[in-house]
Amino acid sequence: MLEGLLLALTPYYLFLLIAGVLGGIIVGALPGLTATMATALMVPFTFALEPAAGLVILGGIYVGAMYADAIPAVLINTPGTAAAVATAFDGYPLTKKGMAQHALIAACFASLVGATIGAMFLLLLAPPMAALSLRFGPPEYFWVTVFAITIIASIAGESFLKGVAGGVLGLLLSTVGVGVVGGATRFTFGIMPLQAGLQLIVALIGLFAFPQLIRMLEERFTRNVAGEYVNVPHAARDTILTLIRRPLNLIRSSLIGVFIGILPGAGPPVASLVAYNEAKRWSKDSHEFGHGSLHGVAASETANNSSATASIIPLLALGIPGAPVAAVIYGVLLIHGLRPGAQLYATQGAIVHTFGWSLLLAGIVTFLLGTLLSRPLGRIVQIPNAVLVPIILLLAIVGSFALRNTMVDVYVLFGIGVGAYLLGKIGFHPGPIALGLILGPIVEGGLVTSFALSRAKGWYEVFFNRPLSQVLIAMTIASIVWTIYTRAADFRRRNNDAADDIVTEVRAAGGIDNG
Amino acid sequence: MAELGIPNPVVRGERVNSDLASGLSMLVFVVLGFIGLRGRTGDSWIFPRVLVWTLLILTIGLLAKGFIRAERVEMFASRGVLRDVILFCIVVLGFMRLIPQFGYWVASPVVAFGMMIVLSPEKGRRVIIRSAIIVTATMVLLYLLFNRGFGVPLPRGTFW
Repeated sequence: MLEGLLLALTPYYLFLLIAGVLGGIIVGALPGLTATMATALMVPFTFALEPAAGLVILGGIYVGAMYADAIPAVLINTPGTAAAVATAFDGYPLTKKGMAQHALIAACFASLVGATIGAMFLLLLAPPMAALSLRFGPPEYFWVTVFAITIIASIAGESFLKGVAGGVLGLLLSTVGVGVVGGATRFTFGIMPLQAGLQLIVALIGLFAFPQLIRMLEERFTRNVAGEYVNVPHAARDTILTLIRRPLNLIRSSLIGVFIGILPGAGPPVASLVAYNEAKRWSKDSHEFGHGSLHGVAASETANNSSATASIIPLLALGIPGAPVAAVIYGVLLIHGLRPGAQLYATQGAIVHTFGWSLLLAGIVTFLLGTLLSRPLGRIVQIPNAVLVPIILLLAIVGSFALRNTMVDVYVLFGIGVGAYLLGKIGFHPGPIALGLILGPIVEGGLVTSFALSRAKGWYEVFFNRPLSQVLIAMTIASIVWTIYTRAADFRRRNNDAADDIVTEVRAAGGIDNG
Repeated sequence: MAELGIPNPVVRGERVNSDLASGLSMLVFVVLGFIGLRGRTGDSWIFPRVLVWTLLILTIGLLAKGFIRAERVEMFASRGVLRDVILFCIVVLGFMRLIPQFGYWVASPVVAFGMMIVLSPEKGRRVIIRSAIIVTATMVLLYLLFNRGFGVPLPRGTFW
C-alpha cells in the first residue's frame, strides 16, 4: 500500500493529478457538463499512459468535478449536477447574505473530508464493503429510496402538503419515456424524443436556473446584482473552524456517502440529500437549514464526495460498475488488460493502491485550489444582473442541448423552467420535485422488480421478511415519526410566537392592562 | 365564481389563494396522468398508476385546504413586473425558435447583446461598448470550451 502512495507522490503523477483536478473543476462548474462526460473524453488520452497514470488523471477529474458542481449551486442557485441539489438549499442563501466565499470554502473543505474518508474505505475496506452491497436486492433498494423520500419533510419549504405533492410530481415526471421495467413508452404524448425520458440535468437546470433568471429580472430595479460580496479577512480559517466544531456532521455525512456510494445505481445525488436531511435532523440549529447554514453545505458536499469515491469500491472489488464514471474507469481497466474484481487486488495491488491514494490526494488538491479560487469566484455575484442574466441563459441552453444534441431538450428546459417559476410563486419548492426526479428510476426498479418476485414468494416474504429490509423499514418509520414530532413542535412554537406578537402589539396599543 | 360560492383564486389585485392555485395546477398533471394511463396494463404502468392516484389524493387535499383555510400569496409586485416576466419568456422562446434558423453562433450574440442593453439600468454608448465586449468574450470562451475543448457540437442553423 505504501508503494502506491509513493508512486502517487512522484512529480509526474502529481502533475497528472493537478491537471485532472483543474479539468474537473472547469467541467463541474458548467451546468450540463458532467464528470462522466469529461472522464469519457479523457479515455483516448489514457491509451498512451501507464494504467495507474490513466486512473490518476480520471480520479482527479472525478474528484474536481464533484467539488465544482457546488460552485454554480452556491453562486447562482443552479446545481452543476444532481449531486449538488442539496448544496444549493443553503449555498445560495449564504450568497445572498454576502457569504459566497464562506460557502465555497465550506464546499471544498467538505470535499476534502468526503474524498479522504471515501478513499480510506476504498484502500482499507473495499472487499467487505463490496460484499455488503451484494446483499442489497430490489426490495432493499425500494426501502432505501422510501427512506430517502422522507427527506421531503426537510426540504418541503413552508407547506408540507405542497412538498409531498412536488415530490410525487417529480416521481411522475421521472416516469416519462420508456419504462425501466417492462419497456412500455409512457407519457410521451406522441413526442418521439421524449422516449428517452426527461434528462435529469436538463430538468435540474429548468427547476433551478430558469426560475432564478426570472427572479433576477424581477429584482433588477431593487437589486442590481445577484448577491453581495463581503471581503472577510480569514474567511477560510473561520469557515473551517466552524465546520470542525461539529465533527459529527462531517463524519456522519461521510459514512452516509460511503454506504450509499457502494450501492450500484444510487450514488452521490441520493447520498447528498440523505446526508443533508440527517444533518438538519440532528442539528441544534435546524431552523437555520435552508436559510444559509454552512453545516448544510458541508453535509451535502461531504456526502457526495465520499459517495463518489466509494462508488469505485464495487467496481474494483467485484467488477460491478455502480456509477457512470465507474463504468468509464471499467473501460479504461479493460483497455489496459486488467479485469476488475477480487483478483485485481491480489495481482495488481500497486495499481489499485495508487488509484486509491490519488483519490485522497485529489481531495487535498481540490481543497487547495478551491480555497485559492473562492475569493475570485465569490466576486461573480457582484456582476450586474443585466450581464449575468443573458450569460446564464446562454449557458443553460448550451448545457441542455449538449447532452443529446437536440433542441427538444432546450424546449423541455423552457417548459420546466416556466412551470417551476409559477409553482414557486404559489409555494412549491424545487427541492422535492428534484428529489422525485432523482429517486424515481431507482424506486420504480425496486418496487416493480419486488412485485415480480412477490408473485413467486409472496409479498410479505419479499417486502418485509428480509433482515436488511426490516432495518430500513425501522429507519423509515423512525424518520416519519421524528418528522411528525418536529413539524408539530415547530407548528406549536410558531403559533405561540404569533400569539405573543399579538399580545405585545395589543399591549403596546394600550388594549391590555399590563397587570 | 363568487356567486357560485367558489372562492376566486385571484383576490385583490395579485394576491392569490395559493392552495387553490396549487390544487388546480396539480389537477392538470393528474388529468394528463389519467389520459396517459387510459387502457394501459402491465408492469411498466404499476408505478405511474400509484403516483397518479397519490397525486389525485394530494390534489384533493390542496383544493380542500384552498376552500377551508387558504393561504394567500402575492404573485407579482406590480403589473409592470408581470409584463417584464411575460416579455422575457416570449424573448427566450423566440430565441429558441431562432437557433435552428440562424444557428447558435449567430442568434446567441444578437439576443445576449440586446438583452444586456435592455436590462441595464444605465443607457448610453458606454453600456453598448461594454455589452459588445462581454458578449464577444463570452462567445469566444464558449467556443473554445465546448467546440474546441470538449468537442460538444452546438445547435447549427441554415446560416451557420
